[in-house]
Amino acid sequence: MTTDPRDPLEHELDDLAAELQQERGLEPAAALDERILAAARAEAADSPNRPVAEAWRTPFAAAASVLLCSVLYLTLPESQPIPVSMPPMDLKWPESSEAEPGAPPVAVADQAPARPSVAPPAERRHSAESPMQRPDGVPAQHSMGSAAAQSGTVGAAEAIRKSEPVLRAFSDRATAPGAAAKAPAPVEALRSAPPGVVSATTVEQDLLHALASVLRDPAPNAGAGVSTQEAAPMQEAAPMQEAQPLTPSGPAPRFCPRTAEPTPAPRTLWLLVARGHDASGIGPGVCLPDLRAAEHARLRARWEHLVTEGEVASLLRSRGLAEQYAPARIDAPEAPAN
Amino acid sequence: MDEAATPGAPSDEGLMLRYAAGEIAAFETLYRRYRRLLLGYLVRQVRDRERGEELYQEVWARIIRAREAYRETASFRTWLFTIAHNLVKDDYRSQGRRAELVSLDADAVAEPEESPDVAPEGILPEHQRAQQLLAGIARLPFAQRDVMLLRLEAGLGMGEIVAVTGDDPEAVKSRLRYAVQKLRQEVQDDD
Repeated sequence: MTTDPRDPLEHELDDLAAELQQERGLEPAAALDERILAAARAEAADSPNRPVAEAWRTPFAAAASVLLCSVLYLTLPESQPIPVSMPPMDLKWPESSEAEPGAPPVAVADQAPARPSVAPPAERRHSAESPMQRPDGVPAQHSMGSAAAQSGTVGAAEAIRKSEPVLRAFSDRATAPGAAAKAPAPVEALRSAPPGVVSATTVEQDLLHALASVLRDPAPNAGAGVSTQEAAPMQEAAPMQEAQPLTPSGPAPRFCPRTAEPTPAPRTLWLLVARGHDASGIGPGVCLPDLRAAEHARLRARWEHLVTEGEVASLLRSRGLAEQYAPARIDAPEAPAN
Repeated sequence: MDEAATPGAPSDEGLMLRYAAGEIAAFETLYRRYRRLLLGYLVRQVRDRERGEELYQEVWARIIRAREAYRETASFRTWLFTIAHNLVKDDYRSQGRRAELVSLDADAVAEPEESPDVAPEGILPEHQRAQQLLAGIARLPFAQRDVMLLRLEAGLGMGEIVAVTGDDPEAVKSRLRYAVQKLRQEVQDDD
């Protein structure tokens, strides 16, 4: 909208503004100034050297994204269609009254992390009601859900899932200037957060745990057919193997129980996450919607630069998590999974 | 502490981008440019010094936290006052003043309220007229007061006010016109 300089309303407003110039007495208190500037300094100190979004605009990042997508696409054998009808996170364990003693979980979602590590019979796990039933009738025997139960990383995954609204509030607020003021305030988001989610720091810790679990146990389905090649660096996985039959002994893609997306090899997957990529999962039981939590600007900014495992190990050490997560294994990612 | 942007000085947008890259001095410059304008708008809009300062702090906190999302395509000033404007609206909603907030009747009469801590204790004669104006602005309905303060306190142009409020340009202009008439009338009556 252009302003007509001859508009009498504008003249009136200019006159009023000039009159008000006589009375401009509102001055922020010095303490208030200092508080705000201190907050700005603290955030700046926590800032990466360059904005994350700027980094993602680089040709290298674009090329890397294309390469990663290609790798993921080629990894999936053509003869193994992706299951499409997957329920969200409302997958349940059998009711205790109905289940046989020691009965295996149907899937993993809202239960406590500690689960009996029972290897369920395939015919039971992939019954007609089973979400992991594949369209071609072949049971997906290496479901992420059961792997999660076995590897004990459900707790971290669940924490991330619960934290999603909080992170989304942060993330939404930071996505665009126009949206900044419309998103819920972080305090409100935290108040409405599920119990146990108290701060972004906690969430970050949970994500680190999940990542570290992947690093510690790069082949959680090792006993069920995850190949050593899958655990190799993504650069080496590029030529891709031919389509393999989905047998207990052969290499098999794993699927996210929630999104039905194939899950990349752990290290590939870790790199995707470390680069803030929209991967299909970051580990057993952690899927795309959970991964979106990692889009929280601060985490993403921080993880953007975690491009070597040495840095991850360093970060874990700084958090006192290194011993828990076998730093030797982190430092030697090329070690075969089996 | 305030410093206006002088010719040749770095633009607001450039400063914000530099701050996003971690340069704290850029933020300090930006802060000095807007601290009084922003506080004036907020305190006179909510008519409560303490609440205005809380909102003032929240606006800056949001700017700081969202720094990495800032793009130069958006005017910093418009962004800043959009955040402030939305916070004020939320504040009114939370205080159950929705009736006043949603009243788009430009001639609606708001309940006169105290305007604590807005006027200095001793009013100098040369400031009397300005004080009358401020008192008149404080009595305007929310929507009229909002556009008037964005224009007179924040110094935004018509286009910027339209962008900040998200309202129709004609509606903004109409509110300003009504508000000016009302203020002139009040000042004349007082005289």
